[in-house]
Amino acid sequence: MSDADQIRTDVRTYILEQFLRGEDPSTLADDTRLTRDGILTSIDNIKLVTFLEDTYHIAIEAHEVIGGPLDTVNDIVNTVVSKGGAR
Amino acid sequence: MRESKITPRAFVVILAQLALVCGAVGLLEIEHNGKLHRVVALVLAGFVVHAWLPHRLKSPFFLALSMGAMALVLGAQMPWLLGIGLGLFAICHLPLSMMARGLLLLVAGVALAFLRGGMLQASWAGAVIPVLASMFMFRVILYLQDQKLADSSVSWWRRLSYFFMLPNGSFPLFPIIDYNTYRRSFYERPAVQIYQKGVHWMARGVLHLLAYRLVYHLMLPPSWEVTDATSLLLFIVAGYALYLRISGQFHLIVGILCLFGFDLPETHKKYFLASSFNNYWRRVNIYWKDFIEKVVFYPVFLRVRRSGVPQPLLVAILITFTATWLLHSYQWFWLRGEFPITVPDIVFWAVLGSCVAANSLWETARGRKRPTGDGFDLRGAVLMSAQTLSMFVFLALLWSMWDCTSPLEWWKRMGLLREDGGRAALYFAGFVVVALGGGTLAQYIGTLAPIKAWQRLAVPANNPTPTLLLALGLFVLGAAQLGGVGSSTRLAHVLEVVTHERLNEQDQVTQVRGYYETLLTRQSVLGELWRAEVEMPSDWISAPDSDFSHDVGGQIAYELLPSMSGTLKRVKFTTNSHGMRDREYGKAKPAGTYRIAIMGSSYSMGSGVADSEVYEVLVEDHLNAEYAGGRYQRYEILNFAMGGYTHAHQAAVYEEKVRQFSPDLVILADHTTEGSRIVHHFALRPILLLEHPNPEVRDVAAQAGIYKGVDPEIAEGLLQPFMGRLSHLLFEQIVNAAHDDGSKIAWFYVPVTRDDVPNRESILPLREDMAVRCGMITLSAADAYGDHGQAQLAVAPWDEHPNVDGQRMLAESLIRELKRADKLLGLGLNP
Repeated sequence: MSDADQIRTDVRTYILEQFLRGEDPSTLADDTRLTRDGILTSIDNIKLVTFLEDTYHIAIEAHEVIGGPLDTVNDIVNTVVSKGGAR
Repeated sequence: MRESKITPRAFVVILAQLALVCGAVGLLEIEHNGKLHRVVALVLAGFVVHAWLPHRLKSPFFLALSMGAMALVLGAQMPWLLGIGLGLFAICHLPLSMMARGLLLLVAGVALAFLRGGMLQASWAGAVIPVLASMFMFRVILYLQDQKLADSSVSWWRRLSYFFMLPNGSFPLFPIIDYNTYRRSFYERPAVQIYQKGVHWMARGVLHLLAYRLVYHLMLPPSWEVTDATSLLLFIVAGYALYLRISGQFHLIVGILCLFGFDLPETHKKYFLASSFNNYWRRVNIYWKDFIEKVVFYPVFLRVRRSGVPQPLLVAILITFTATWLLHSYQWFWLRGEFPITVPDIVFWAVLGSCVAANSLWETARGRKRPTGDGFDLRGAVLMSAQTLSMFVFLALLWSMWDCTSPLEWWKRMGLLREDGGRAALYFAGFVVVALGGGTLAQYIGTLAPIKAWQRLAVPANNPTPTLLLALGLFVLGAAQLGGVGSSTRLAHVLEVVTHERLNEQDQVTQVRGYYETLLTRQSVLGELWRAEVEMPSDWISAPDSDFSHDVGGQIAYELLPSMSGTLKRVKFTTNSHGMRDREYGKAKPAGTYRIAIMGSSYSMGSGVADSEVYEVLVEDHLNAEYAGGRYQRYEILNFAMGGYTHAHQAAVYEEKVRQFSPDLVILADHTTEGSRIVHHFALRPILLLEHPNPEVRDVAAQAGIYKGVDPEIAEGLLQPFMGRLSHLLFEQIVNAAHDDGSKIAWFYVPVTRDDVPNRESILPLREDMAVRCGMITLSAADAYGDHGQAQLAVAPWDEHPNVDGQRMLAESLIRELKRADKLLGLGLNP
């Protein structure tokens, strides 16, 4: 499994457990818009940012949080990979 | 590849719905003064072209259309807007560091702020800067910030259109659209889905604006009618519901943008149904929340967290709400020209911020419950209804405090609930039962299979209900019109309210309203400032605000300067050596002269017509041409009228000026709105009432409970019951003074040109009767204008004062009335 695939699995698991508990996992596609479609609230976003920073030892900038590099699972994976994130 | 094509069949279906919505905007005069009817016509035509253009031409076309829409609203001021706007845009792209570009924008902003605040003068500034500000004041921050995520694939057309967005000219209070979302959302989904969503959201916006009209005209009592717990509860709830206007406008705006491929998210989500503070914050003005989170909340949180400060979430939320408060004042400054720091603002944002902070800490610790979508749970449904109701009541109360000028005044107003506690509790209990029962039932219905099937079909982004409701509503309205609903029925009144844009009873007298209402009322739709600053020429100034006037204090307050000559409202305006807008007269009355003194307001002063066109001059000329050399050698009419004067001013003008000229006849011009004007005058300046030379007028102040520094809106309410008494006392004061001087005195009714004066028919006989009882001879120009209305008689679309024709009609009426009452007046006009 590549780093990107591992990150994708981690992120999906985290979102499903933390924010979509009890939901069918298939409702979370890799291109589902998390913030823009109201799945994640601002509190959820800071939890997600904290998770990403603590897990992958990267720094997320404020302007990256809404409607941009963290908007979908794909975006999150790309952002973590581009910042050289590793467990 | 993004799909921006549409099939002919889908296009026709969407176009038909769009035509329906645009037709509704035109027929129902939605945001008429913001010229939205013209903009939606452009949208309709633009959509027809845009939908079929190749993808690469869509952005340039949208920009051109947006510019066209702005030119339509701004007219000759457009080059200024374009020039400065492009300058600001160019600064964002200078080959300098982000910091340097930010500083340059700040310098430009300060220069524009000087213009907006009046420290620097430019004839175009008042019209251009509010619109320019609504385009740039927040968006430039997001645009510059998102340059960090530079995406070179975004065309310059689309970048420019982010600022020059199509409906911005009609809506100065504009949702803060995130630049990143704007650029990413362009045809992010198939075109037909985005277009369909746009039409439905436009329809939803129109429905919100119609609901707003019903609340504004039929539910919201004037503040002076808030005299018991029932009316206060209605006042609180209806005041909160006025927010429908904002959500309506925002749905319309975003719906329009969807029609051009921007797949934007919702701006509001059933905010009256919020079940917690956080839930409310996430449902109401969502774009604002996203903006403030992006610009303040996340940067503060991340910085605080990394620096190890305890409770970073709490700190970030409190700073975010402090910034929200200041940015609302910042927005107010650009749109209104003042930077308010008020206690209600501070209290409102402090309370809301604290509640959201507490709710967030709770949510962080306990987790957020998501709706399960399983079967109906009675206990859960009742609990949810109770939470929603509690939030509604709390927010309505908080909102009502925000609308007051101070928390103390709000507390005093709430005193009605305490005084009338029994009835208040009864009504409130009834309201709670209905709301809980209704809420629970609605949730139960939501679990029924057919409803769930409909909900799956009508997902929020594509819900056809608003368009269907609008179509049904138009059908019903059309049927009612065709059915000939009588003009005196309640239904006719409701139809009138729904189909026309106009001020309600209170706002015709006073424009005191809350944050958003004041911004909107005066900026774009119903009120004066937007028309004044966008449509009205900048040199169109009323006499009291012009260089022809100066303050003198006391009961007169202000007056015309003597011996002035120049141009006002683009016509010749001259004052004589005594400060009258009139020819020169000596103080001593020449032998053989019948002298008349007219006291009145702007109508009698001749606001907007030239010196020789004022009705008083026309009457004087006529009397001298036709009757001089008969019983009298000459007739003189001295004009003591001044814009903004009420009978309260005129009582003082008589004492200090008129009596020095020994008139044979004093004519006191009156309007049916005069009682309200007197009340408004004293409400704004309670000290003039408290220190009035007439002890009986001072007694009114005592009886009404007026005190120094009383909030004008409260004073307005306190004085309303004394409207008739004040009018009567001022009539008496003027009549007694004139009789003491041996002058005759006549009451002269001058109708205003406006078609929507409340209760004109019922007030006129009351005022005439009062004039007779006080000893005045009555003259009336009630029929002066015949079938002509404001459209034919106003000096300009934005100024109701009678034009040359209107003044001539008033002159003809007065001449007729003088002849009719000649025996009493002794003018010698009849053989």
